[in-house]
Amino acid sequence: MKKELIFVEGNCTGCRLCELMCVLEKEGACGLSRARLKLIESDTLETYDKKICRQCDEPDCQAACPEKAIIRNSSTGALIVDQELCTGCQLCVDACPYEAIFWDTDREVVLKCDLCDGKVFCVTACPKQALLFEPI
Amino acid sequence: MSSRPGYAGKIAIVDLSSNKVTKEPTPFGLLDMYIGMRGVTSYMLWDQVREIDGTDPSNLLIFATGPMTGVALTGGRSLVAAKSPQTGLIGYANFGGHFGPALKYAGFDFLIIKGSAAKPVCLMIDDGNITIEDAGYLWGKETREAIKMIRHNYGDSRLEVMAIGPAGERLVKFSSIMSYDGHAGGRTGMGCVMGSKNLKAVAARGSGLINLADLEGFQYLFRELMDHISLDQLSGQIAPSFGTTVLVNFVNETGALGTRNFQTGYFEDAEAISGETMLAKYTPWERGRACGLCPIACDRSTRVDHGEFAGTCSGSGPEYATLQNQGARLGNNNLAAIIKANDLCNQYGLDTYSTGGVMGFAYELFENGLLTKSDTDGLELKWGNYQAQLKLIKKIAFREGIGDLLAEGVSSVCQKIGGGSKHYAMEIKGLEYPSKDARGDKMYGLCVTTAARGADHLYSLSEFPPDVEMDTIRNMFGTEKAANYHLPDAKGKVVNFFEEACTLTDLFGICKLVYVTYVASMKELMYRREVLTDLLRVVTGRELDYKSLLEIAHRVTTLERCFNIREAGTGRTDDVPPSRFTQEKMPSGPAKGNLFETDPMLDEFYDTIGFERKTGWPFQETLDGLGLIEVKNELLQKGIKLPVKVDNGPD
Repeated sequence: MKKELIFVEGNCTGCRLCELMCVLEKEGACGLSRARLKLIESDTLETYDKKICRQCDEPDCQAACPEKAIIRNSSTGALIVDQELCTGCQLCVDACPYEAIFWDTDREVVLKCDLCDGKVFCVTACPKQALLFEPI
Repeated sequence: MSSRPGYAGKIAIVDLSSNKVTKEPTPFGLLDMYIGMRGVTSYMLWDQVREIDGTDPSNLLIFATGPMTGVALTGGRSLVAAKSPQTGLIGYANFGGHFGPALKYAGFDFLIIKGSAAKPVCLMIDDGNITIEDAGYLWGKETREAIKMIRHNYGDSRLEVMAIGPAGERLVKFSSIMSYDGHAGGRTGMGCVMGSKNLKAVAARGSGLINLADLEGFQYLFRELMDHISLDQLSGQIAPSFGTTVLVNFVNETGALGTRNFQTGYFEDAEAISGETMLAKYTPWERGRACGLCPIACDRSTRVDHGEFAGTCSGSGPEYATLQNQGARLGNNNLAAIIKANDLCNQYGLDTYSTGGVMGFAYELFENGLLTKSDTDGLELKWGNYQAQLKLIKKIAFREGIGDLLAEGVSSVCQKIGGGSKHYAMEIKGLEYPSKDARGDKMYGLCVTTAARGADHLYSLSEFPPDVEMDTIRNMFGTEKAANYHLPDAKGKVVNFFEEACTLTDLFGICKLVYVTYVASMKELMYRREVLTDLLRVVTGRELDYKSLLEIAHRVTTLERCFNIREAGTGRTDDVPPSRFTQEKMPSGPAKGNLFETDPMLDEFYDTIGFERKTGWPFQETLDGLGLIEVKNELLQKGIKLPVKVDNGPD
């Protein structure tokens, strides 16, 4: 059964443990800026916006990619960037309506959520059930 | 990638007088001796700051992180340190939020700021690059507005910024350094030091990664700690709902809620300003607000929707101690006014504790005729007059009228006014006394009396878990009375026990509430103390047993006390509580009739930490044993006759 990441805004406390665990899993070290999801707090401090990949059914990122480097994983449904094919043109970054694909300026690669092969470490790191991984 | 696991690997030194920026590797020797954060800043101050006023350009202002900052659970903590302009002693303020991790990811364990800029500037720490930028357009702005403008300039809402407000610009002695969402580097006047350097703000962001010594071990420990935190009744249930504000009613019930400038420890209107009331009336969000990497989220935003203060909205708090300092301490039972006062202090960049402290002092001087309306610009400083309180906060921040006098702090006001005002001066070593009445909570009283940075409750946040097993207490401290807040027994040992734990959290860069206070049982308290050895191993690769960690904690606290001895000659005669606590019996509430018994508790405390009872100074053998030989030699060369154990041992 396909599942998707869901952000429950009302539960989020802004701790960014999801980002830390994402980076820990993907980079093997601690940091936040290379997370494949991003928390934005409103100026009024009253609401949060989560830049989070929906693994869309009709993905604009995939359509925008001239190299066909974004490929859907058949078991998880995740859209995965093939870094061998990716040229770093960033058209997918611009195309994503949710601003959920990020550009790593240091290494010049795109960073995109791949659902960690279904293990979703961000979800397991969330202490407040603000991130859920549920059947579509 | 950093050169040593757990650390960013570099120190930045910014000289604002010469506009020079240098970067150096973080010296391993310092980390070996002091682990990080407060240990290292206290050593730097010992090593480099001598015989100057806190506002002297040669004072250092150091933003510091620890090995767990930006890494471990509750690693949102960082610290800012300098010689305090308020006390002349070791100064620092520990704060949460997200700035510390940002500084570390930007590549720096420590940011040392020296000198003074010719005109207002701010610092931008951007992924290893540091620039000194004009801050003329920010000068005069309140903290949140200034930070908003900086973020807007860089088009980055996640840029982490710490800024001073109008109070710091005017060198109000107890100015704070604030984050956008209300996290405060509050105590000992660090905002005043920043203002003296013409430094409005420090901004940081970075894409760096912090290496771990044992990735798998870290992930395992992360899960284990997460389970411990969520399964404990205090850290898993009560703290996420109320945070520190749950203490208002609890402390009042023990008879220690400092009321009307500590005339008593029982506030008849505590319920009106309690965490429970705040949650019901002014906290529209179910969720709390978290510091970086904290699973608890014990902070809450508040919003006032109706009445006189409608529209007031706080990013953070008020916390327990602000409810007391801006509430009970001034006889103010209007919770909306306290929320407003908290917000004003945050926006102007004032420490809510010391601001409440100096106002409480002024209110009592007014009650006793030592200040009159002709002194107070016409303000009626009567208990509960919150309109006067809010006006006074502004006057202090802008140094207007009576505010200019009060901006110097209780100790200074007391010296200027004289005439018996000393008895009402609730301060220790120049720092305003914080929140719990020493007669109603003797472990707290001894903690603030002996703390190196003056009347500081966080130096050894001494609170036993609610579910305190008496067998354990007896085994650890020799008597069950150790856990009784109203009795002086064994408090020297108790305060040392908590001082060790609080110091370690300040070296690591983690939250002392989570690792020391938000625990429901002694067993859990011991787990969270001892897990630090595992945490240090998986993050930094350093294998130290718990005893060795404690030795490092003692090295730091002893060094800080030696700094005070060198700079101000402090000793036993300074380790005394305000005279009210030893001379006036508690007049009401559960602690009625109590006095604070300073001497026996001090004796036991000095014995426990290897200090001489008579002078309150460390034995030379203590310094030798802690590896502080250069410290001993410098004090001896200065003519300070440090005691020798064989001659002056305890009876």
